[in-house]
Amino acid sequence: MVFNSLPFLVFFIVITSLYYIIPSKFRWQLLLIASCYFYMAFVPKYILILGFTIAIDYAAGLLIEKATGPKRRFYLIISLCSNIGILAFFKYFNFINFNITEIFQQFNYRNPIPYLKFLLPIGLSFHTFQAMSYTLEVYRGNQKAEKHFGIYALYVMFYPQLVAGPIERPQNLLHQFREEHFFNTEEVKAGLLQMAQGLFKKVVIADRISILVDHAYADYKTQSGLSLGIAALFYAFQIYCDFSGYSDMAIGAARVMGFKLMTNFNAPFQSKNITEFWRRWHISLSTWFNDYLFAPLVLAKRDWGKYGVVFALMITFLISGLWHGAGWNFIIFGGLHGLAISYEFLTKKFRKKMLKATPQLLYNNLSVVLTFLFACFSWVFFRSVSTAQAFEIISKIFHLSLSDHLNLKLNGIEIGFSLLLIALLLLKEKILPVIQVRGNFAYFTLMFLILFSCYLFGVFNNKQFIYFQF
Amino acid sequence: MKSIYKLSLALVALLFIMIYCISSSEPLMKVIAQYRYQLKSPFGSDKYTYGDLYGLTYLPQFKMKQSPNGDIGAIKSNRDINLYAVVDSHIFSFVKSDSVFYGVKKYWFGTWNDYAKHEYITINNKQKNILMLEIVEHNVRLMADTNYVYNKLTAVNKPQIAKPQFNNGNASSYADRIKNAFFDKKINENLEFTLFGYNFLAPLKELKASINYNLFNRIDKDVMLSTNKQYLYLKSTADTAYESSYYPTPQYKINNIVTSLNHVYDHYKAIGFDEVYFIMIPNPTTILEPRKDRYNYLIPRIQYSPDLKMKYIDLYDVYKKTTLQVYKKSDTHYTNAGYKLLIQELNKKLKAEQETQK
Repeated sequence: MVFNSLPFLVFFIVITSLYYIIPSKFRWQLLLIASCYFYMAFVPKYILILGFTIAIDYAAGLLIEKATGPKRRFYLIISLCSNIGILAFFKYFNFINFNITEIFQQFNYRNPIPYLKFLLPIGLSFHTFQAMSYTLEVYRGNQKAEKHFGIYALYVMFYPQLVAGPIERPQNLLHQFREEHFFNTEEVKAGLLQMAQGLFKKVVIADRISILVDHAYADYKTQSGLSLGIAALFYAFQIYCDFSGYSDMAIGAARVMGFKLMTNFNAPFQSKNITEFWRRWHISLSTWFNDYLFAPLVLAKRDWGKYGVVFALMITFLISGLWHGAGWNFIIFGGLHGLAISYEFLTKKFRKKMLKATPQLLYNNLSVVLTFLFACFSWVFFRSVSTAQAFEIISKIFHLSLSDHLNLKLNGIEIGFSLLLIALLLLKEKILPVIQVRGNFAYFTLMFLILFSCYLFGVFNNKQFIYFQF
Repeated sequence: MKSIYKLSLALVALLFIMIYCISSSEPLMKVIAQYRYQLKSPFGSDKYTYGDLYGLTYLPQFKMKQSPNGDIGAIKSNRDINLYAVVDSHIFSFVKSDSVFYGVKKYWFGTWNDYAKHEYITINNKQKNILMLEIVEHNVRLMADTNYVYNKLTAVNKPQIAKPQFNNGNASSYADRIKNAFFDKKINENLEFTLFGYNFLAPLKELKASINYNLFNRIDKDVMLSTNKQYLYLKSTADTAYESSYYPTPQYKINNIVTSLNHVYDHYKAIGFDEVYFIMIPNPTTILEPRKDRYNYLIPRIQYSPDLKMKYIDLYDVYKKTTLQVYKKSDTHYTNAGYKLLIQELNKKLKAEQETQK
């Protein structure tokens, strides 16, 4: 049940209406049942996997809190291993098996292990990380173990953020399930407006651009360097509008019911360097990796000095790349960002000197452009189905000529329209990050215009959100 | 929260729960759809009024009033033939009366639509019994599976002929039925029909279609425009898809279909049918845009195969030669002219059958 579908519209209306009708003490049950139904709409039997991890982590949380000494670590390891084990099995088994096959072939052996043939449980990477965040925070003493199984289950399964985040922390979310949320007209209006904006980004911008990008990548062998270069640039906006659009809808849906989820994007294309980029892009994931992987690694390798930091950065981003997908192209994607951030870390002083020597306006704008181009470059690996495809596309792009034949699937008007939408989006983020609407007339007019535009200009080709595949 | 607001929310929730439940129920949706297709009011549905392809695209230039299907006269003849047919909408939505068939006293038909539904009939061996299998070109490849055909029709009055073993692979388990009750596969489509499939919303849909076509040169993903922009085609028959008129079909696949048709022919002849006729309705693209170097010649390669035992009605040749408009411009079906040509060719065969001594 994707957010930009009619079943979700009906589901949301029903659940939100019932939420405000039933007594506060029963609301967590309603949300839990709704979240189960929402998850089962994808592949029903996979709820058993989710149930299993919830049970393990719920028990682990209680045991960690109760235990002392090495036993605490033991229970934490059980919880982490079960989560990572399930993630590894469903997401990485075939990738690992494929690499074993490649190695065996070098020695003329046949790999006897068969490949697994089933769908990846939706949202696995997201809810696994959210669950691990819980046991880690209980272990660190930052969060009390949740004694109520239903409330804990809801923490993992809360439907607005179940399948593609934001990846929440228990300190932010758990207590909200116990609080009474009164109907707050302003919050409901703000939540609905945020959902409408997210829908606009998804169906008007992202799904429109995807026509051009999908065509270019599907037919990359016959596409010119210029076409592929344009597709690479457009993909940046496709993935941004797709994912931030989803996040807006998730955050908005929660807000309508009085829940506050964390911000996941903060105008990432205004970043002047990759370090800043990851503070603005998929914030819930980057902070998760920072808190639970990078910081502990830096601490563990503090004797290595700055090389310890570089080591921690590379490991963090390689794993982050792998989190996105089971493939070498994703690992390269992560590795590129690790290298970029390591470079920025090691050259901080030098770049500060450069800043003083260069006109600030030029430096800032050049930095924004270079950061954007680097992100586009890394996304070629992200979007490609294999490293071979990615390298071939990059090679073609670097050999492009302005006289190359264009084969872009979208006509000139639609490309122009897409560019206009992108320009408006970037302008809106710079000038008016949060739209404040005063008065009901203005509000309803704005909502009508956004929703009518979604209908009139939306591309409804049943395209799933990009991050659902992770 | 004030009681009045809670009551309003409760009514809203109830309304949408009802909408969701109705949209999840295939039998209910069928009844509602049939009712709404006939309704002329703003709350009716015009999905098929101007052609099924118009109902997908809503391009205003293809909003063409459709003449009633099957508007051809009755034929006078002695009637002593029992005609059994397994057909699709090209026949069942056009044949209004048995009297269009030459010499036919009794007409029974089943459809290909529901794979799991078996049709059982009893044949009177003292009378002339003809079986007609009609299928549109883009579904012809299904004929390579003999069970696909056997599952449609079984004659039960010949005890020495064993009933064929049906492939019940598609029969639903209880788990599947429960799953379908809660998570209907067609829920999106059904909700779209329930919430937005109204005549009064057609101008909006046409506006969107016009913007997409005139500005962005795009139409519905399931439809294509003909080269001369006069016709709408189902995209799967006109692009590189498996069902397309241009999908390369190696000879062994043709041979498989012919072999299967021969098994079907032998089976039904043994059961008691005096003759079995096969009709392939050409895709519009086959006749209107054959792209001589690209049409896969599926129909002629099957029909003219020297190994084919089954008798056939050669609609391909008739349509190629006629100057009449045999296809609708905004619908996947043929016109009444196309239908009349089919009936004329079929009646020639039925007349010949009647003249043959039993």
